[in-house]
Formats: sequence, structure tokens, C-alpha cells
Amino acid sequence: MSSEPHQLHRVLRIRDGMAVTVGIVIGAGILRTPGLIAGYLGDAWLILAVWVLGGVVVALSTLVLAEMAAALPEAGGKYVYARHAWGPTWPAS
Amino acid sequence: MILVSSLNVNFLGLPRVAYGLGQHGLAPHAFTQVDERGTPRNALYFIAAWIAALALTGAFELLIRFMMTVAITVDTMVLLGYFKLRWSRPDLERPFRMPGHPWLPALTIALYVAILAILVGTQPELALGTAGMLGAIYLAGVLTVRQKSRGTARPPQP
Repeated sequence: MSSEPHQLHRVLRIRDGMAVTVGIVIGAGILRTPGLIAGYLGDAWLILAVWVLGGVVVALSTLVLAEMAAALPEAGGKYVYARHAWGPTWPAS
Repeated sequence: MILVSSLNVNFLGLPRVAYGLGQHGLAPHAFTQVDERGTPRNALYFIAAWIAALALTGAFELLIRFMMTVAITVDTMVLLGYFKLRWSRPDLERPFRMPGHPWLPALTIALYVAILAILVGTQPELALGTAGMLGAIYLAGVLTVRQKSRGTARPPQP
């Protein structure tokens, strides 16, 4: 019997990645936040414009993160990209 | 359905962030323990307990606003890391490259900074709370790393 410590399994496929991304993008905030924002804005066209702008922001940031995720395939999410870019304690390091 | 999807993502992703932090000595080493099925179980239990505790507070709207301020701040830092990596690690193998470099990534960061400025301008108390929390976490991280590096630099005892 092996005494090697267990490792995380690399088992996620493209459809899993897509499902996780949809889950992150939509999130629980969708249940409450749109109503709050609509209440602040008031105008229907302004509300739609904010939705579109939000979509643009999410799409652009996803592409930036995708480059770093493909280049640094390690467990840890955004922490990994920040650590590789800035070191463990920037700017105190 | 959305709640299940969101919980699923949090249970999948957040324990692995704790796992990554634990691997680099920035979180308890217990978070790096993985069971035979490949699940970082201790990190999962910790995250699940936190989610349950926050849910029990009932302050859903405040938590969403607080979480968004923290997320936008941290994400801006991570997105700035994109340019830092392009500059400091040009040789890094990049199977996917961001289209429209450098203008589209710069626009992305500008949009995040604009959102952050709006959040700070419209909700200064929330921004102050966020800054306090992130500052405390940052200080704890610096102290942990320094303590760890002092421990590894110490010569072995005879």
C-alpha cells in the first residue's frame, strides 16, 4: 500500500470549465443585485445599458484571466496569478 | 437552481484557493491535505463553515456589496498582474493569448478602476471597511512570510 500523499485530480473537461464559469459569472447576486441596481437607475434604457456594460467588463476580464490560467495551470485560482506576478508580499518584499 | 450552481462553484473553487495558499505557507498546512478521492477536505470544511456562518447572519445585501468591493479590488490587482507577467516573464509559454494586447487589457483595467472609483465615491464607509479588512489580511500575510523565511534561514542546530 502506497504512503504517498493524495493529490488533486486533473479531471475537469471543457464542459466542466464552462459550467464553472457560468456559475461564477451568474452567481447568487443575480437574485438580488439587478433589482437594487434597477431601483437606483430608474430608466429602462439605462438599466439595459448597464447590463451590456457589465457583459463587456466580464468578457474582457475573462479573456485576460484565460491567458494567465492557460500559462499557469496550478491549483489556487487568482492567487496563483497574483503570486507569480507580484511575489508573496509585494510591495513589502 | 442558481443557488445550487453558485454553491457548487464556491465549494469547488474556494477550497482550492485555500489549498494553494496552504501550499505556500500562507494558510494552515492542514488545508493542503487531500483525501483519496482528490478532495481538499479540510479546506472544504473550513469554506463550508464560513459560508454557513455568513448565510446565518441574514445580511445578504450588505454581504453582496462588501464582497463586490473586495472582489473588484482584488481583481484589479490580479489584472494588473497580467501586464507585470508580460513584462517580467515574456518567455512564459502562453497557449492562449489575450486578443487586442495591450489596448483591450488596458481598457479592462480602466473599467475596473472606474467601477472601484464609483464604489469608493458612493459608498465610502463600505470602502473603508474593505480597505481595513484587506490591509489586515495583507499585514498578516507579510508577517507570515517573514516568519517563514526566518525559520528556513536559521542554521541547523548541532
